[in-house]
Amino acid sequence: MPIMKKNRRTVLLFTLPCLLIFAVFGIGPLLPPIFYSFFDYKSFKLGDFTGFANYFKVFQDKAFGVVLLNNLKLLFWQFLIGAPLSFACAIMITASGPKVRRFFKTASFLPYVLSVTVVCTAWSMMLQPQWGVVQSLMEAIGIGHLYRPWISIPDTSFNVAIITVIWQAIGYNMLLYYAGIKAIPDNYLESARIDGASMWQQVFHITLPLLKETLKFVSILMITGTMAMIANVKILTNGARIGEKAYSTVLYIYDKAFSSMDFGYGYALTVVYAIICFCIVLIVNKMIGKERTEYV
Amino acid sequence: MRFNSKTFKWISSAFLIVLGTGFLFPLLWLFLTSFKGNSEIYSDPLGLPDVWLFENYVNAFTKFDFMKYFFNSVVYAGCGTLLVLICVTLFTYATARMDFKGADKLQKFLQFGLVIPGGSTLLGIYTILLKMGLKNTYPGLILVYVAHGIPIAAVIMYGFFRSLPFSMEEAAALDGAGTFTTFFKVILPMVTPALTTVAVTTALTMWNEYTLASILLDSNKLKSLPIGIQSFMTSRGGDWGGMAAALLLACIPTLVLYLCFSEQLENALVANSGMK
Amino acid sequence: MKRLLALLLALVMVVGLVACGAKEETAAPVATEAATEPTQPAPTQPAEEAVDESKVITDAKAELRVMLSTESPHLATLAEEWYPKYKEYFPNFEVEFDILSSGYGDKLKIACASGDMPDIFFNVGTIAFDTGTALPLDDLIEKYNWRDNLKGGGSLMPYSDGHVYTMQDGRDSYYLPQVWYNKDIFEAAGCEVPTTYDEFVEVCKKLLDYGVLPITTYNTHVQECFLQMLVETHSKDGYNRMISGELNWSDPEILKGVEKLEELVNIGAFAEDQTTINYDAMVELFNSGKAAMRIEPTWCFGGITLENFDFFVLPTETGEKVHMAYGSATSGNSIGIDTECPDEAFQFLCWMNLQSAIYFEQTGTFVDVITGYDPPEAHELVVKSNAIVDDTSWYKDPYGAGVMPAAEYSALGEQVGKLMTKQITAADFVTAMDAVE
Repeated sequence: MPIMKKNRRTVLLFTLPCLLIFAVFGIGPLLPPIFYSFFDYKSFKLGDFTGFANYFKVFQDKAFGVVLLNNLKLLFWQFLIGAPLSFACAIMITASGPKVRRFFKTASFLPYVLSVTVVCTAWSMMLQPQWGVVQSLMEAIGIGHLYRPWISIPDTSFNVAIITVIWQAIGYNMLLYYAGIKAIPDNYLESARIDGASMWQQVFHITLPLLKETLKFVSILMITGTMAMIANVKILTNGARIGEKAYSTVLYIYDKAFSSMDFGYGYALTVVYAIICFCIVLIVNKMIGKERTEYV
Repeated sequence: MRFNSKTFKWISSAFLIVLGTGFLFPLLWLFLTSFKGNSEIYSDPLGLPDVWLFENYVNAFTKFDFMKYFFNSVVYAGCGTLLVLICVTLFTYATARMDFKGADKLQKFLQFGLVIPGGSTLLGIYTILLKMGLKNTYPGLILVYVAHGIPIAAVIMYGFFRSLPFSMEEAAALDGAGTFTTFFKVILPMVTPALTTVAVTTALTMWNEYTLASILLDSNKLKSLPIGIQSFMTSRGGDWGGMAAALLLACIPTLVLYLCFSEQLENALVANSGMK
Repeated sequence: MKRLLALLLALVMVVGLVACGAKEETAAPVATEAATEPTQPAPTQPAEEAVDESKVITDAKAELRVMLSTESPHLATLAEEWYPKYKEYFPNFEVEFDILSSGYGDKLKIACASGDMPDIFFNVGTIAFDTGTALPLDDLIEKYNWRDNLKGGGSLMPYSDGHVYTMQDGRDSYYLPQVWYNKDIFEAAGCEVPTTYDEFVEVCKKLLDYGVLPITTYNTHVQECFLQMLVETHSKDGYNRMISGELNWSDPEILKGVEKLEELVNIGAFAEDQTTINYDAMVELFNSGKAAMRIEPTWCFGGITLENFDFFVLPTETGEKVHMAYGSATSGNSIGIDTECPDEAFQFLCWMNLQSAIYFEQTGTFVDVITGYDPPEAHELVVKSNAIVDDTSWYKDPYGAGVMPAAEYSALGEQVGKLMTKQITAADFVTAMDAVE
């Protein structure tokens, strides 16, 4: 437990600037949406007070369920493949020579440096039916008949978005894990090795537990990044409206508000979604564990 | 930290090299596209250009006031990142390492900012800035960017602050250091890797941001690079070659930043682990 | 190694800076392709007014904010290069141009919602009229005798409340929704230009057998024009009767149109990635001979690089002469209702219209504004197109999507997307559309 008891003035001094800016420009803009979600607010015409009607509508909205599932699917794959892959890469670069390490760190971080626009446009170009490289490659090795224009097919469109999200995040997540791994003092693993522990035992019994804090915040970043995802779908599909199967939740909400001009309902969706995301963050936090890690 | 297994080293190196090369394709595609004309970009995405159109790069500079927009982006990303670093470091030091009621709640309050979906706050942000007279100004956009960057930065810094032993403050207090001295001289140097991570990610996000900038900025004097780059595209046809050239030019500072910082990051990490 | 890379990149930047100094004024290109010969002359901004000796239109002082969208490369050139040269005509004006390509619609909506409207803006949809944030222009048109500058006055279209809110150069009334076709492919596949709708479907099937993609179009065209065109093939005014409320979506006239779309989708007349295809990729499909027909109005003419091509109007079932009259009360530029200087804004708007008219006239498009210049000799296909628009024996069915309420148009886009990806049937489509409030 932190033992430094501080007087109020000090605490205020440290926390006020951040709180002020965040409250005014971060939370402030949320108040109109929360307000309007209780009204019939379409095409900027403030209608009657409808109470929780919009919220009831949210829970009956099948399309919302579909897009929510999409985001959960994305989250699932991020945790199943993205996170372990990034972690494995982090372990691997600690085991590799300096040249390979430098190369991979630079190369894997590159997709993150290039904006999401570039990454998704590049991917959509590779996957396009008439001239895409992927189709040519598949034909060259004889599996051309398996090719589909995945982005344009509603059932598979979101999967392509999932791939781009994971792909772009590997390098970034890996670096965060790497920073955490590097922070572990050498002598911990030295003593384990001397005691005869194999590499796998070292990873699972020493490294991972010590990385709790890192794992926690990398998970939070992954969750919020994936739950807020909108650009990937928009860029890959060129803003096409092919139905909720291909949408992410934020895109669906944005569509309801700015396209159908039903802001009251859109804002109700926003509030519900924000609460769901926050719950997910809290759950994952609890799962990873509460204790702090301290090195002695 | 060593995993002594020659085979593992060999396999992992091979794997990393293959995977790493795969990560390079968007940059390669961007580079090739920047020299092509529209029809070639589609009919031959990864092939070498028939004619190397250097005028795409000239267009990239002349289509809009590239240097002005570049300067603006530097202002937004630079000031924004600096402000985020200052605010968040102070804040999370307090919530992570000071004992006061509500430390936990304050941190959670900031974390809530992570889950706010983007589009819903557009109208609110616009109205607030309008009422404060900050729409279409440098400080206006910077403050909005800072508010958006705070949650993620807070999460990262909080994690790093919590991982340091509390004995640090004890020792400093025994030596007679006050709160600020402890903070600046003892704790801050220890979280340099976290600071660089936050700086890089925050700056990158602000550098590439389009939506807020397009809505909150009206004058050409204030517009940022992503807006300029987007001007190559129209709903019915665009200059892909020119846009690719502009994108590449816009990437350069971020690439340089990353290349320089990653070395710094690595050194800081090594120094940090050696300290223990 | 890293240092070397960083140095190299810095060098590129320096070279770029030098190139910046060599900035030139460019004339407006017609096609965005570097390697093709434009089929129309490239417009250059005229150095002198053909009519007046004094260029100055007004000495008044004004600060204007003009918000424009670049929907096409032509509009981009106009907005970025022609309009900013206003000083000779308005020496005491300070005009700030806010030009956006992506996200323009959102910015306009937010402006309407907050009441912070620009002085002049490019109008999209009906939101500005519905929220009462656009200035009705009727009085100003009278005051400045703008109609004297027009050939026929067709460029001024009133909205459903009777007021004129937008001004344009009139070319919208001369865009004809056409089916452009590759003559070489038609010949090789043994296809004739269809004269009835059934023949059109047969042509599509024949092209499929021949092994080429029958139709390509840009991904929002179906909800914008093509669906209405399909309804017109059997009911010349059915679509507009539906928009005005007389008919429902599930009424047979409209349902039949949707079923026709469904049929085309099912036989595979569209590309597999039609719903998500990029505009320039679509252009390349037609230009490279992979697609036999391109359905798009006249504006796409300049980007077609084929040697042997022509167009036809989508034929009706009976061969009756019906075509969609493009252009609506919502297309053009408007003035914000709270503008501090309506007179000056209006004069500037008139000047912008004139510039736009000069520009497009030189590309061979007919415009409603009298420019005082001699139009260049138009390409034979453009002449053929204009002749149809001028021919009063054709029934002109007004462009409906422009005045559709936002919620309905948004739902239409979604249902079209689902239909074209085979997620729903025509029956589901009309049921869903009727359910929209």
